[in-house]
Amino acid sequence: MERGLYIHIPFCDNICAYCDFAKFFYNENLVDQYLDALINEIEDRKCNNVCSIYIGGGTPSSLNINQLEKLLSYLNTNFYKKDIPFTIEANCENLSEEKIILFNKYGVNRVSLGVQSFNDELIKRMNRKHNFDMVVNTISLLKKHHIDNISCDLIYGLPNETKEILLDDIKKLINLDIKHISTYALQVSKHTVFYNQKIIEASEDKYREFYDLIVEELFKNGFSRYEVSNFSKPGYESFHNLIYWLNKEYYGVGLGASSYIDSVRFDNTKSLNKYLTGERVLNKEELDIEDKEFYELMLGLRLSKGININEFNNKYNKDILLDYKDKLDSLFNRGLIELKNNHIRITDDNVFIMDYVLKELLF
Amino acid sequence: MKYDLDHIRNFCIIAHIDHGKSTLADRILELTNTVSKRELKEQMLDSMDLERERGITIKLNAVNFNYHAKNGEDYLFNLIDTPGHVDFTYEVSRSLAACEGALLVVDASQGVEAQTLANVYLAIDNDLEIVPVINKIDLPSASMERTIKEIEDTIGLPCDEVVGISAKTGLNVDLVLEEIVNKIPAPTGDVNKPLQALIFDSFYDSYRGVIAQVRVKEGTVKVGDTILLMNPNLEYQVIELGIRTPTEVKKDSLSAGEVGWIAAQIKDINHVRPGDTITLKNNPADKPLAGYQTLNPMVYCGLYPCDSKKYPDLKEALEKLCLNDASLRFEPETSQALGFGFRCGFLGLLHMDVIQERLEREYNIDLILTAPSVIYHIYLYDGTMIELDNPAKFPDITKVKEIQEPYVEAKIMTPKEFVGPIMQLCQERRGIYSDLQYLDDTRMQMVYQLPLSEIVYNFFDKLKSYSKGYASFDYQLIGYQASKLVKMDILLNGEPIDALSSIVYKEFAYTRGNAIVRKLKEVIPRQQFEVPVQAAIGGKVIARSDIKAVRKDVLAKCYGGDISRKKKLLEKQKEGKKRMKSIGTVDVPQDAFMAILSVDEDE
Repeated sequence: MERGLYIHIPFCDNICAYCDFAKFFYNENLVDQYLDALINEIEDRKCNNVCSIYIGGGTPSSLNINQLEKLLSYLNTNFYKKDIPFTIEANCENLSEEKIILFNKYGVNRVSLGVQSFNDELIKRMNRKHNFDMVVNTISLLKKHHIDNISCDLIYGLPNETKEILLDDIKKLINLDIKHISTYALQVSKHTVFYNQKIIEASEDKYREFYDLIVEELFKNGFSRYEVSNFSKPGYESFHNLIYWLNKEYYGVGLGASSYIDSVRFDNTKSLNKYLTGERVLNKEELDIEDKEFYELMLGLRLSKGININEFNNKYNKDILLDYKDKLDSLFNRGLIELKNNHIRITDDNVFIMDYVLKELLF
Repeated sequence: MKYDLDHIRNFCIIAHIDHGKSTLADRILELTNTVSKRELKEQMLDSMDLERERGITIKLNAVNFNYHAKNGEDYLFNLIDTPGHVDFTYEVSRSLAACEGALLVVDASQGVEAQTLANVYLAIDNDLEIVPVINKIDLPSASMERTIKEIEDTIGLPCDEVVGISAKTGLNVDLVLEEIVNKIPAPTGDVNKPLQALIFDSFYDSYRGVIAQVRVKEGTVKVGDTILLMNPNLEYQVIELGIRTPTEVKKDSLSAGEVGWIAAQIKDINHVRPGDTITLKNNPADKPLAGYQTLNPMVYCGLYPCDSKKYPDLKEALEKLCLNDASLRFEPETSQALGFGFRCGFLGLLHMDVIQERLEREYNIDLILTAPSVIYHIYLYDGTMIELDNPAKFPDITKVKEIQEPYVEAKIMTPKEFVGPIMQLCQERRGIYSDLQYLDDTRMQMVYQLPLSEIVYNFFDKLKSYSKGYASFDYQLIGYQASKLVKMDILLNGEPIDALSSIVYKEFAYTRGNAIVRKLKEVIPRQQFEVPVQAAIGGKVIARSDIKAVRKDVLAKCYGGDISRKKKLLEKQKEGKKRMKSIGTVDVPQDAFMAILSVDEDE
């Protein structure tokens, strides 16, 4: 069975106010040790049959040129094959042309840029270090080196953000002529600067207003929504992230990374010390057929296509339209879901209340 | 060891909540080596988890132990623990009937409280010898002098030789033991007379059937005797009997003056009634002991299982609880909104709360409770009278001539600086002032007549907050009076929900209706479409609020590690949803049905 490979780089030059991932300030010596441990993990776990590579963070582009070369050449040697989707996350402030050349050399063919906003006030508030011009320059550098499969992240619902600021952000993103946009409602999680500053999340209604604006603008400009928070030009959906939502298996290596291998979901430790000494796994969840079905529905409804009825029935030896008849009928009648191309999907207007729909279906 | 009557002391402890009753009991058990320090769980006699958690005593509990007194002789002590809350007065009167004396524990910094007073009067009525003990004298705010003056002034007990103790540290607790020997009378009774044993409690044991806790007043009962339960007039054979120390110790016989338990393979829980007398079949007593009357419930509410499949389990659980709780009543009822359930009667709100928690914890049944109601007397033009304990069953208003509601006399004790706010509270609750007097230089007692429904409705919490926690109160039913009352319906999505109906005082209807719909809007989660919540009287809407449509319910970011976290979260929400009731397409959480009680009209 083919699997995705996710590699976590938990280092950053500065810490964003909203971030609750496993992350540390960049330290050359520590990163060297970490890369050794990372490669050890990949070797120990005998990762094989890899159909997609994704390096996320943290900030993978914070690594210096030697470290980056070590990591990329290792991955290239062991997992590269023609046209394998290979993504790396990067921030403009530390993505030099030299590093982009390395990407090219080792087969990286997609770059996901952390942008979040172009508004100087909000950027400062998030403790990020870029500005609009830097993003424009980075994107033209990437294109110069033939990496035009570029994605940008956008966060909405930031403190004091207005509809006007958001609209300006969306328009600028569209003008950058990129292939993919991921948008996220700000979530104030524990152990973040925002949480400590007692920032309160925007109201349900405000988030909805922002989300609807994003969807409207992106639809007008040739993007389609293929998952709740992800939009792309035709053919540029994120192959790697689809692995998650299609309930397929993947390796997650590195600090705090999650894996789904041989019917077991597990997380790696978030403690750097433990990780460096090889004490990796934090918790495990062994899945039975019912758990898998739960995940299949939970994840499948995130996709605009929805749940493939035939595939579902074959996988779980069921007849979904009969076995969930009462629940589905109620949801159909209330206009929350529809049947399209032999898939069950959430209707366009109700994507943002998909958990509500899911709960009606599952409980 | 065999004790003669002169060397037996049966006593209980009377105290207000928090005045240290259970701590003193623990210390006594420890000092007499009944329980070693190692075995001593905090508050030994409070055996239910619920009791220990909440720091209250609900059930009475008896324990027998030996005390080697300073005069060199050994005594058998029987300590019967009693509840301290106003709702459980009935349990107190049961334990008093089994004793000759009572230790009255008063907190040296708090003084005499309304409930203490009520229980002391009960004890005096039962001819018990009262031994005052002043506790917590080690606290900085303690005042022996002031407390003695209060006991003398409010109760009229002489306190010349009163003992001051600290149950927490054990200071002077040994003196209390001597007081028990010297001041509390030995039981009287004749071992040769026909058996008269008073049942003061009972509990169900799945192996031995119903176990009766008794105080033998006259005669002797032995293993193998055929006994007669005098009230239902049924015979059983004694299989085992004994005492608790506090673990069970089997004995061959129990004689006049002693307190113990009897097991006789009694299967039917209704055969053993607290207050009944046990005698012997072969040599019966001519008449039963005076016993005590069962209290009638004052507050009723509907109890429904969240999961309708659990209805038979709920029935069985209620039957079992009734065994140990003669004041709990229940009968089946049906609600359009909630399905099959029971209308249950309780002594008060705490009693209701305790039963709910026991059903949920010990019997694992998730429950929906409707707002509690008192019993209204509804007089119709045709001359009939309906006793209404469920607002949903209110008759056609055009047939109603007059509605009467129960009134209580409430005695409230408070430091004098809170008299103003408390009087205001009582006025707001339709109270009729009857008396106000000084207990001492700093404390006052006020007496009000209040509709019981107003006490049910959040009164206790308000009283505590108006007096910074210092006021205490006690009440007694005094009868029925006519009131201007109306039935208020609550409509969800235009449909009246029977389980949310309530009877309200006409002048309060508008404010209360507003508060309730606001509260319901808060507790009912957002739904797919906007849902109006309305309060109506006789079809006329008097208040409205709208539960908004859900606008965002999604996890925006869902990658690797988010996936299993999300599943866990959903499973948790699934548990929460189990505790909701679907009415039409609206999911109504458990606490919505109690919303009527917790609304704050000042908001």
